[in-house]
Amino acid sequence: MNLPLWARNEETYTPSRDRDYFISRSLLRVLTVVLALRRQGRSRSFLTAPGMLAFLAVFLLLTVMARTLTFLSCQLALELVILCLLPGKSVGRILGSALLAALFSALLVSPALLLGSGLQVFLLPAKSLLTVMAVGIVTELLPWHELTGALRFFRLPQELVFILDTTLRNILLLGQMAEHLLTALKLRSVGYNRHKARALSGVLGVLFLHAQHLSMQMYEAMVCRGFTGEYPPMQKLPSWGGSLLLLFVLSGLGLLFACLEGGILGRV
Amino acid sequence: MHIPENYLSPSTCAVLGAAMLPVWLMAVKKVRQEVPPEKMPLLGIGAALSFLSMMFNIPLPGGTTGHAVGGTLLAVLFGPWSACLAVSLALFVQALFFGDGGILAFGANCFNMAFAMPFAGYAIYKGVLRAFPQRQLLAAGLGSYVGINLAAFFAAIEFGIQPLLFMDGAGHALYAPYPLWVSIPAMMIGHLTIFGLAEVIFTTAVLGYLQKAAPQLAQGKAEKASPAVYGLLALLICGTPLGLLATGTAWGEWDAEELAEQDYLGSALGYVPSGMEDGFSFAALFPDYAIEGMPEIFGYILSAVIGTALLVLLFKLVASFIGHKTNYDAPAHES
Repeated sequence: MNLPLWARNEETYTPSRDRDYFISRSLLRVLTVVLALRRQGRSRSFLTAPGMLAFLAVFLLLTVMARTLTFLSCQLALELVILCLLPGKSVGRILGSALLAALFSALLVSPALLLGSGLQVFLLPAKSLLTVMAVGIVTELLPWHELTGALRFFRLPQELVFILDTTLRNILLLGQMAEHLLTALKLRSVGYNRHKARALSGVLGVLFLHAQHLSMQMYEAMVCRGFTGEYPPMQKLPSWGGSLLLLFVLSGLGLLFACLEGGILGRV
Repeated sequence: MHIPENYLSPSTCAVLGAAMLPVWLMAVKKVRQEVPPEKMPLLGIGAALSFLSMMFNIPLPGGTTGHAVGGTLLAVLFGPWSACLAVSLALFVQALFFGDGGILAFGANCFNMAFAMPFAGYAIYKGVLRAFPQRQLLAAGLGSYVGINLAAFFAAIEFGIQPLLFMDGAGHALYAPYPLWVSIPAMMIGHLTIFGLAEVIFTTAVLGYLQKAAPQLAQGKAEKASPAVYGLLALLICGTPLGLLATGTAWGEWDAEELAEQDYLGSALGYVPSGMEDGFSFAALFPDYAIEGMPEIFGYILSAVIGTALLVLLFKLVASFIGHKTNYDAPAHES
């Protein structure tokens, strides 16, 4: 095939260096959130959501009330064993955030170490490690929709559940939209472009407008499908096996707490 | 067999650490080549097995204690390079969190228990298996016996050369005070008899159990741990307080002051070697597997749970990092 002359000319176009790292960075961040919500599609545990939430509440309460590293190390053992049963990627994520929190609180209390407060100084970093790890494990095991369902189980106001539920859904939808917009921005801006930063604020504006439309549309769609603003409490009763296991572990922890913090074992 | 802090001079520790460096590098390379990421968590369970076996202390007349290591068992199950890495990590967790074995002496401990033991044990195992192909248990038992004794022999030599090399002006040893003619018999008598036997029993019992309960694993073909393996771990964890029955400590392992009253040289030593008294000290999180304010048995079980979980998690994390790399530079369709 004979190409016209102008098409046969070799073109040497090297675009000047441009910084669009911030777009990739925002894109990555949006995708991580969307992925985190997406991954939580199905229930993976035989433990029920209300049971786990109640367990988490008592567990955190005990952590906060503990005054010795001994009881905290028991809790650490329990959390490590549960972590062993999770996939490696989630373990890395949970441990990473927990260690970061512990490091931050260690930095905060480090002056106390210099003032000579002894081992008690390490209580705060240990507690932040444990609490962040516990919350990480529960969110890993519980899908979002079960979480909102469980909140209703505890008779939380319907408005609160509704707001939480719609927020989570909207984050997912808007995240997808943001992903499309950012990809479009990245693809269409060829070469050096000084208006990229301004375009990014445009993306945010479009997202905001869409969010308003979305919320209206969703509410209308829900009303059309018979939503009366009521979230009926879960009909399904919690499974006995899982609840019993949780109760057993919890009573064991309570006993340990009474013994170690109440000093019963120390006196024996 | 764990060499505590300051029993070896820093220079000895440095030499043995330097000797281990290429071994570790090679082990990492080999494991990366040979062990698929899916099998990594299994290796963590192997390391946990070794960790637990080292918590079962056995008393010996004369006041010292010893334990099985499980290095040969791991070599049989996963190959010697993987065993080297797994035992090294078990020793690392012990040194860092439980103060069992020194941080400075980590290289020396790894040389004895993570390098000499699995490789020697595996060589014997392969040799015997070649002669008697149906006798896997016998081969593993013999291998483990030779492995632990070789490791003990190396440890004895490392102890024994200290007074020859490092003395102060008054003729007092700076580090471990017993020369070769005391250290070698003292270590070897125990290991040739009771500890060697303990290692053989541990190795063959676990291997025998795995052959029945998880035959895939015993033949090195399993990709995932079966419930039977987790059951074995749980059983071992519950049994660890048995290790507390041994009350004696080996050569002032947890307290250097004890050394002054011991009389391996015919009369009481009479002094605490200065290098041990004011040497490097490291405060482990749970020293001697004890947790403050807790009865010994609970502390021991809790330490076992934490150590086991840490090792399993460590290998899981490593597997998730090295697993499934995508090569974006590869051509889309290779033809």
